[in-house]
Amino acid sequence: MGENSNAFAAVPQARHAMLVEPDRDELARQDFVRSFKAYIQSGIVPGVHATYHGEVKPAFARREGREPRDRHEIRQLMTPHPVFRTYASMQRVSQELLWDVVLDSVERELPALVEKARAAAAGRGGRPLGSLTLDPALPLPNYVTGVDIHCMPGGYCGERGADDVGVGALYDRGVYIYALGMMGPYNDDIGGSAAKFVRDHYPQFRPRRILDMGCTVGHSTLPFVDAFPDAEVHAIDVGAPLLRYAHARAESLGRKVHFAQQDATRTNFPDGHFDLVCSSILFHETSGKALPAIVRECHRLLAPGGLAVHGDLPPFWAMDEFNQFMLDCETWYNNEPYWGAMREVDQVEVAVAAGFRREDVEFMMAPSAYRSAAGHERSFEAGEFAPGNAWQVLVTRK
Amino acid sequence: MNDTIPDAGAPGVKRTIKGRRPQFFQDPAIDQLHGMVMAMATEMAVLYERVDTMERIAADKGVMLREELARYRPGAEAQAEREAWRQRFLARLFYLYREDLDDRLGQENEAQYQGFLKDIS
Repeated sequence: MGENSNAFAAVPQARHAMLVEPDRDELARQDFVRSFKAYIQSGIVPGVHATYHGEVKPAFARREGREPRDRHEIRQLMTPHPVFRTYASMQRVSQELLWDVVLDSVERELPALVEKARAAAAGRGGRPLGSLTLDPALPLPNYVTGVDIHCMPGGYCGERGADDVGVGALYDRGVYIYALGMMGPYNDDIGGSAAKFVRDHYPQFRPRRILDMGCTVGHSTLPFVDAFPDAEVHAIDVGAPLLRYAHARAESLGRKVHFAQQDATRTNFPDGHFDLVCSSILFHETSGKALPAIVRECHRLLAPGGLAVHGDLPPFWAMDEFNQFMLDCETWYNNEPYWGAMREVDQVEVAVAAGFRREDVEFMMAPSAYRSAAGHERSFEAGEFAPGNAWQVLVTRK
Repeated sequence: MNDTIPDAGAPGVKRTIKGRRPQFFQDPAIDQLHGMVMAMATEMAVLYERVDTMERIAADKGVMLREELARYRPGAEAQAEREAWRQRFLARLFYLYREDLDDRLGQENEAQYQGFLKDIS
């Protein structure tokens, strides 16, 4: 391992006014679940790899005279195997435990968090920097309401009480544990890496208005505020509780963002309104219809010379069939219905069909801003969420 | 999962997950056992941390609890109490085994129970 160690670097999550503060026992549970997830990666996943490469694949090759064709065939071979079943079952259990142990903290703090978000929205304690615009009449897309994505109870839109922020609080703390802290103390490495990528590749680019699509709690939005301090930054999502939380979170961190409840496939902003449109791990949580519609909406929203940058985990063609199979487990076992299908979509073709010139569309790797700053090298291994040294970005220029 | 069975917590948060849960083992009880074992392991981690915290706080106050614990040898009375506790604990852990044994030895079976149901109705 040595320099390229994938071991968890225990950087604590950065505090802000909206982040739940686990009590002693809650923190012990949350630390344990994070350790459990890290152990699955270091202690159980290697056994699944060894089982496939040392047992299942050779047996198949002896029987059939060829290697398994694709991830689907590997899946058929692996799902009955006891080693795989234990891995998949434990992965699922760790995910269920993750949300449940964070919910203890959320449940205890919820009334106070709702009050804090109300105060931020009303500008109590000073004029708010940004703004919050909700649209209770907005139709919620089926890919958001059909299942609770990544098994997070309530999904992105679940509301139980007035001015609820529960799922926002759950997401903010839960994602930190889910990503094993690999997205940095503010969970912002995807946004941070994309913003750094834009600055490094387009040093003369000075966006006046920026839109972050599918912003959830705004963790990936804030790096764009920092990277382009003169820009007016907007962020949209379909989930009202997320946006209330996101607004209060941004205010508490002293960042000015205008949050609005809107659907990225059809926003109400005028044509050519933005110089930079971005999204972070949005694509894989949409659908086969919504993804092209979002890219078309980006084309409509961009001013001439404008840029769109969409960050996600690597597509299937960037890894071998076995890692494809392992990554695709999210589709089957973690309520990520579009996870696998999205990784087969040719995003360059989608962008061209949306109106971007082919020469203005690129699929690139944006080096991880957090890990390059921390000097922490790691390789991408399917089976966990945390990425390697870089995020995949689709870059389109109008 | 659905909301038919109330969540363990207060009404403020939802604990159940919308979407069919995959089954990994032939016998769904094994899936449930995986969940239970890891939930209990989580609570063991909580207890471990509590003890560890106690030892560290005591050490900060000059009481070397960890060292004293290592040196401690229970007397006869303490040993007997501990042994009794362990036996009760083991008996509880193996309650289904004992239950099963009771049924076998007492010839209690499904047909007998059906007969009993008939008798009392």
